[in-house]
Parts: sequence; structure tokens; C-alpha cells
Amino acid sequence: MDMSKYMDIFRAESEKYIKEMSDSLLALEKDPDNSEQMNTLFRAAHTFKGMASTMGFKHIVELAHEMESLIDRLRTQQLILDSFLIDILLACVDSLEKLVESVFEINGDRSGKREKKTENRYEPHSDIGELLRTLRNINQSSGKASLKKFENKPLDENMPLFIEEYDNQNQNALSNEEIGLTERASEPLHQIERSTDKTEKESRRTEEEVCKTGKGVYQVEKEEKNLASPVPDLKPKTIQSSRISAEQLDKLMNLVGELIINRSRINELTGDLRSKELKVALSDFYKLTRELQDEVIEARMVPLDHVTYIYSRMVRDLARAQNKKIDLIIKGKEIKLDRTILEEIGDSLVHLLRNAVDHGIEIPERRAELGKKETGTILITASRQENFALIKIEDDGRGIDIDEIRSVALKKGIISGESAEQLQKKEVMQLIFTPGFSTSGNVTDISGRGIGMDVVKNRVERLGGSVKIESEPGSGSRFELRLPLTIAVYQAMLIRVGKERYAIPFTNIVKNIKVNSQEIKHIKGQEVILVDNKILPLLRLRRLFQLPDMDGTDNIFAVLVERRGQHIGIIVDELLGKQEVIVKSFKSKLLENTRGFAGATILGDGNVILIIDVNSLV
Amino acid sequence: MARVMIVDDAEFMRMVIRDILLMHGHEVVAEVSDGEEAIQTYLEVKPDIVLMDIIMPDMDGKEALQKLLTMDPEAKIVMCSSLGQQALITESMKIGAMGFIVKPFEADGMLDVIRKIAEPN
Repeated sequence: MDMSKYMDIFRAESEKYIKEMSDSLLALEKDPDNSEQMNTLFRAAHTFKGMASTMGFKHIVELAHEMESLIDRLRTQQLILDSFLIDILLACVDSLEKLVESVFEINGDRSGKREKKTENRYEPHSDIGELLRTLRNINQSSGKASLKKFENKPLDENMPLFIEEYDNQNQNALSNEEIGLTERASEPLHQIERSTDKTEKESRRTEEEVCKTGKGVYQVEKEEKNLASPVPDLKPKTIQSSRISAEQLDKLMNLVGELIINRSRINELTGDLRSKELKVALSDFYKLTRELQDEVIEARMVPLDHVTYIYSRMVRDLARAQNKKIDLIIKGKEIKLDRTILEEIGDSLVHLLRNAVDHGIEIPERRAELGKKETGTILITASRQENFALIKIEDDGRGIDIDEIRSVALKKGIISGESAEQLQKKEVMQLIFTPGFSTSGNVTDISGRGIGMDVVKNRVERLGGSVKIESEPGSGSRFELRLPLTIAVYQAMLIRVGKERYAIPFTNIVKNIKVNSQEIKHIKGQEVILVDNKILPLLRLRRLFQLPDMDGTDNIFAVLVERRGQHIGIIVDELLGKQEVIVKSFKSKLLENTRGFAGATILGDGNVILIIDVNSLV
Repeated sequence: MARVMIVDDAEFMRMVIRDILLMHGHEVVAEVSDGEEAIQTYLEVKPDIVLMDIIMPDMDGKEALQKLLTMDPEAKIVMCSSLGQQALITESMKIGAMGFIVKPFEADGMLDVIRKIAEPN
């Protein structure tokens, strides 16, 4: 049977079950007696094994089988779940994930662009052979051997030690029958000791075996040919769902974009014709393209859970490595975002999370001294606002020390001594987004590998979103990511400056205001006005684009936008109204570094106009 | 040819089983993902044979088997399971399952079981 056609669904379902196992294990770590989670874990391992065996992936089956047996013994209370076994089972999940990945690497990735994996991850257990041996040792031992006494140490060190201790204990106190078992259990110990230098060879072999397994797919295919009998003319009744590659979705989105541009163009061209039929046809056309666009956008949406599901595990591992106690709470996992946006911000979220663990949450002793709960909390909240999604990452750690930022920025020459004193608290906070800025005296290997706050900010802004930061020294920090729900098509305000029209994305706009030119005041040469009792700096696009000032008008229009946590008013000649725009980013190397513009769009009349990027404008 | 209902919580398994059945002239009259649904759908479609996964969330295969047999003592149910769940298979046979198939399926083996049950003579 040609199993290769099931690869995509196998992968999708594998991910589902691996996630289920990982989630259950993390829940069981907190509440080992939760039988519901234990059953879910068991079912996931079992079902996953069944799938892998159907695909003919022998080594995945082998590992999943041992895992299932172990879980079965936990489930039936023959063994007691402790942190040692949790570690082993988590290592299994990592290895299974790795094995699945390698099968797909070998077979070539046909499902199109793969979702970007956050490269940080924890290291999956590198030696599957050893993991299997460990599992077999545990599974072969019978009776209610309590494994509770063994400390929580990395698996590699712990394994031989575990058997030694087990051995000694049993010799001292256990019955003959159990000693018999101990001898069996201790056999592999010698092998492990002897095989330390073989470890590398072993792991290489494991990889080769995966290769072989990969080929297995095609062997099965051959067998299928012998089996094949005439295919009757029978079709499945209904196919509820099918899978589309990300690449295809991108193409669809692009086509819809072109269609919308065309629609506006036809609208413009036929505006003068007074045919009623044409009007009706056009209105139908409008409705249909609208519907098509909504459907394609919807098809591209994936829940946030797609990137956040690994976070619980990540935070657990990071916290443990630094002897910290942290609770991670994720709210709003079901909020859906465009897959490209999620892919783009995955790393950024990881970075913010790592920062919170690394620099935010204090060690338990310190927290106790401060009168805080020993266990720190990191809260991720996602919510959907009208046209965008809001993702907040909050921690109750030490917060951001403004003075520390000021002095680091000074030391690194990011700001001058004079400006260091003048900068407001908010402005100082913004300095952490400067390239090359890091307040950590000793960059740990955890946060040290991060992408940097400047990259986080750039990525979010490139998508048409924004990053806000708030922090109270001593009580924690909060990052707020405002993201568009979809890419490529978004709402924008069309404006005119001189003879040219431009678009400003709605995600940046707070509101439009009308200003009387008499109200404009000057502070240190900067034009400002008072809006709601707050000073609002003004930016005249005419001056920026080196056009002469408009003369003779008292009424000036400004678009109030938010930039780096601050509001500014952009003065334009005219507001032309809301419009849906399809973003065409600058693909040419020449234009790549153009500041002030996010791309271009084509209007219904066929004209190309530039989209203003508020964040890089000046 | 038999009219078969597939009960399995994994979409992947349903797909593989369905393809094998269709390719060999059987009809797949329903595909469901848990025991509860199996019971409801059974009454609607009245399949000749039910292929029932044992380990499923909520209502598992054994329980669904029991309920189906109470509803229709003539129901022909074949249990499916991966290796390692022999005890469950034995119990299911005692309850009244007509046969069992062990994953990974060999198309021949599976078709054989179905043929024997569908056409006992």
C-alpha cells in the first residue's frame, strides 16, 4: 500500500498527540494523582504508536511502545509517578518528536513551508538508544518498586546511578524473588558503562535506522502492488476536510488581493456608465469577492496555541535550570491569527518569555525576602480587538530598572550624558529596543542566544503592529504586542500631501483631528498642540517631503498615530477616507532599506501609492 | 461487499482503513471518532460491520461494544487495537465482539476478517 500519501496527515496527527502527551505530563507533574490526565497520556501514546506502526516506522513504534507500557504501569498503580519518571517521559516525547521530524527530513518536506520551530527549545534527549534501555529496565522490573527515592538529576548521570542504588537497596532488603529481578535489571548497567564510548556510534546508528524506516514507506508501496485488485468504482461519500499547503494558501491570498484590485479598477472604469444591469452585476461581484476574501483569510487563520503549546514545557525547563519557581498561565490560546503573522512572531514571543524567566522572575529566596510569593507568575493573555489581536506578556518579577538602562545606554554610547538626564522615563524604557542593548551583566546561555529586543520590535512593526512596554520596578513588567489579524489586506486611511496620495495603516491610527493653525505652539522649535490637555508633537508631511507649506488655510487635518508608545500628529493636506489596501512589499534590494514606507499598493484607478510606515518615518 | 462503519479517534487511522476498504469493494457508510457517536450513528446507518478502536477518549471501545450489543444483539463488531492490549481484546471477545484486528493492519488480514464475518457461509 502506498503509505507515502498519508505522510501529511500522519505528521499533523503526530503533532496533535505529541502535544497531548506533553501537556498531560506537565499537568501530571503538578498533580500526579490526576487520573484523567494519566488516561489522556496513555491514550495519546497508544494511538500514536498505532499510527506509527501503520506507517511502518519501526523505531518510533519501539519507543512509543515502551513509553506506553510505562504509562500503563503508572496508570494501574504498579509504579508511582515521580519527577524522575516525568523527566524520562518528557525525554521520550522529545525523542518521538525528533524521530518524526527526521522521517520527514529524509522523505523531503512535501507539505510546503514548515512552521518555523523556535530554535531555542530544550535539547531533546540525544541518545534514543539509551532512553530505550532505560525504559526497558524500568518496564522489565516487576512489582511495586518504589522509584520515589531517586533524586531529580539529568537523565544521563542518573541512569547508571539509579541502577546501582536500586541494586544495593535490593540486596540489602528485598526478597529473593526481587533480587532475581535486580540481577536482570543490573545487566544493562554493565553495558551502559562499557558503552559510553559507543554512545556516539549508537546515535549515528539510530539515525541510519530512521533512514531505513523512511525507505520502508516505499517498500510497503511495492507490496501494495501485489495486493492490488481491480479498483471498484466506489467513491468515499464525503470528505470532511483536506489539507492545503501553506504555500498554496499564500498564493490564494495573493490572487484574492489581485482580484480586489481589479474589482476597484472595474468599479472606477464603469463609474460613468449608467447601466442598471451593470450596477447589479457589479454589486454581486463585490459581494462574491468579499466573501471569497473572508474565506481565504479565515482559511489562513490558526490559533495562537499553535506557537504557545511548547511554552509550558520551555518555561518549566528554563525555570528548573535556574532554580526558579514559575507558573505560566496562558489565556486566550484559541485566538486566531494569520499563520504568517504567527510564524513571524513566534521567536519574539519566545524571546519575551525568556527575558521574563531570565531577568524578570527572581529566585525563590529573593522573592521570599521581598515578601513576594516564592513562585513567580508569567501571564500570557491574548484577546481579539476589532481589527487586531492583543498579546500581553506580564510577569511579577523585578521589573525594569530605569537607572540601570540609563547607565548602560550611556556606557554603550547609545545616548549622550546630556540626553541621559533629560530623557523621560518612557523614553528611557524605549532604549531597550535599540540594537545591541542588553542590560544583563552576564549574558546567560539562555537569554544570551535570544534575538534581541530590537528584532522583536522590528518584526512586529514590519507586520503593521506595535510593541508597548510598561514596567514598575519591584513588581514586574508587561509587554503588549498589538498585531493585525491578517496580512496583505488591511484597512488604511488614504491621505493627500501635495499632489500625491498615501495610505496610513489603521493599526497605527488613534484618531483623526482637525487643528486650527492658530492653536499650534512651539516648544524648542518643535510644533505642538494641546489635545485632551496633553502635548502632541506635530509632524508636517509637506516639510518632510520637502514641499512648500500650504498657504492660507486655518484648518489643518492631522492623523493622530501611536509611535513607540507616544502619540504624534501627522499633518496632511486632506483626508480621503478609509480604503482596503493590498500591501505589496518592496522586494527589490535597492528599496529594502527605504525608511518611512512599508510598501506600496495599487488603487482602483490603477495608480500606485506608497504606504506610510509610521514607525520609521523620521 | 460489506457496509462498514469505522470508529477510531485518530483521523489518520480512519483514512487508512477507509482507503483499504474502498479499494477492495467495501462501502464505508460512516466514520466516527468516539463511542458515543458510534452508538448514535449505528442506528442511523445500520452498518453490516463495525470496526471499533478500543482505546478512545470519553466512551471507549469496550463500553461502546457493550451498548451496541444491548441495542442490537445481532451487531457485528470487530475490535481494533495496537499490540500490547491483549487483555482488552480478550475481554471484548467475551462481551461479544466478532473478531479483532491488530494494528498495524495488513490489508489482507483485515479484509479476511471482514469477509468471514460478512459472509459466514
